[in-house]
Amino acid sequence: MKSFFLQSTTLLGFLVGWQILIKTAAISPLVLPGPLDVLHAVLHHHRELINETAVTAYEAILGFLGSAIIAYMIAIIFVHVRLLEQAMMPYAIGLKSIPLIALAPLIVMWCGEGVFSKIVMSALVSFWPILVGAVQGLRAIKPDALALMSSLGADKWQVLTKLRVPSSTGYTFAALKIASSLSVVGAVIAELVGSTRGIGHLINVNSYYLHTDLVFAGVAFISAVALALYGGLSVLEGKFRFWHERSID
Amino acid sequence: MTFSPPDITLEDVSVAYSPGEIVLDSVSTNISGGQFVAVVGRSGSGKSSLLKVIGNLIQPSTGRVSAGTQSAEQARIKGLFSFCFQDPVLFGWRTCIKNVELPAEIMHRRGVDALAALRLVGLEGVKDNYPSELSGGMKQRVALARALSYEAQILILDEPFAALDEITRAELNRQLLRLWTMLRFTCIFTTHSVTEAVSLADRVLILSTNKGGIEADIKVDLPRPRTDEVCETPNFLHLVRTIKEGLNL
Repeated sequence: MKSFFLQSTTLLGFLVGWQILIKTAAISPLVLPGPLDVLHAVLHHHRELINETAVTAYEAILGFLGSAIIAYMIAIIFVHVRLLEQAMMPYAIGLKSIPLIALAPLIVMWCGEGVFSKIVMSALVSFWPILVGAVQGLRAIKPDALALMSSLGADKWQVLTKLRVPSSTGYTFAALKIASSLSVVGAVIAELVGSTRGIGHLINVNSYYLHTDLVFAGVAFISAVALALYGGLSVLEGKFRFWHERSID
Repeated sequence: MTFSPPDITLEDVSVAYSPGEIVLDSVSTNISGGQFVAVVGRSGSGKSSLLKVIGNLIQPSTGRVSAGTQSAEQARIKGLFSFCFQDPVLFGWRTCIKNVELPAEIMHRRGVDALAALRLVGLEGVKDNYPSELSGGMKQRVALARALSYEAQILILDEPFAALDEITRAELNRQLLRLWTMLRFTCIFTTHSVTEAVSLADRVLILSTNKGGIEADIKVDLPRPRTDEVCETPNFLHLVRTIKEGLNL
């Protein structure tokens, strides 16, 4: 409660400071609008903002879900086929660390200006952290736990479902949360490169016409989507990982 | 619960993790059903490997381990062995009773009374609690209940209580001894404590440090129950001294 109060005060202080700066320095709202200008834009264009945000959210969520499912399945294969993991895992770790965002123009060229290229971009950037996190999670098992399972004569499927998958949730959710933010970034960047809908498109058009207040409103809306995704995953994590230990005890 | 454990025979059993690294070198011995055997030795003398090769968690490089008329592998698949490790390896996402039910679940056995097993260790009261809510000693007792739940005939304990404090450890040793007296399974355990070995076992195997074999096989002909008085007799102290000499302590 106390930290909530402190954090709200920080935000409020920031917004007030921003507004005061705009007024005292007489900065043109075309260059930097104040928070009140942005609020004004939100109230006047809320329908448009909501519609475009929905498009971007749709692209990001679809890209994220698709990559999460495929990445987790590949992680399971990697854990069982050592050779495949050895051959490919270093590349996965490498791809996780490079700005794949830079491929956005190509992806848009290949997949068109429609929704599909955004889903692909969003999936492409969120895929690698999930794959790496899931492999780490599925592998992070105490040797004694595996010895216990084999003393009970457990087969690979039982080891997977009763031990590996539940104990992978810690690493996996950490990766999913990172990837959820990346998926929104991926969708917006692809929209900025070329699109007819979405928040990226809204930002593009309105920055062209110097509707800076609406650009800020767009940023605020899409940030809310990213935060909501992250928050939703945290809630889900709480439901899936109700026990306290890092892995197993 | 019924126990009629078969004899275990090791014939020229060698274990080498790599060609140059011989851990056990043609060990031959016989452990009769229902015996309580302690294995002592310095770190790296192959205590854990001996236990693992008996329980068929690792394969001997040469030689043969059998339980009664069957091979160790057949015995393991039938669920004749059960293991307790220094780490209780309870699954954090399962309640205590669900942890105890794990072996039956994996072996597709019906009619296993997990609650009765928890009752044996005096923990039926925490059956619906998660492991994170238990103390270290209680976790180890749940692990013991899990090991006893499926009527494995040979209980293999690898320094089971080594991570616990002195008082809890003494209490768990007493409990183990009580269960053994009552149920008469075969009990093979490793320990770093010579007094612990003498106060619990019928027989102490001393592993030699570098040669990978059994240095000495000492019969502990002290009366049971091993009360505090028994553990203060000259006989007891003499056995402790003999074993310590065998370990070059």
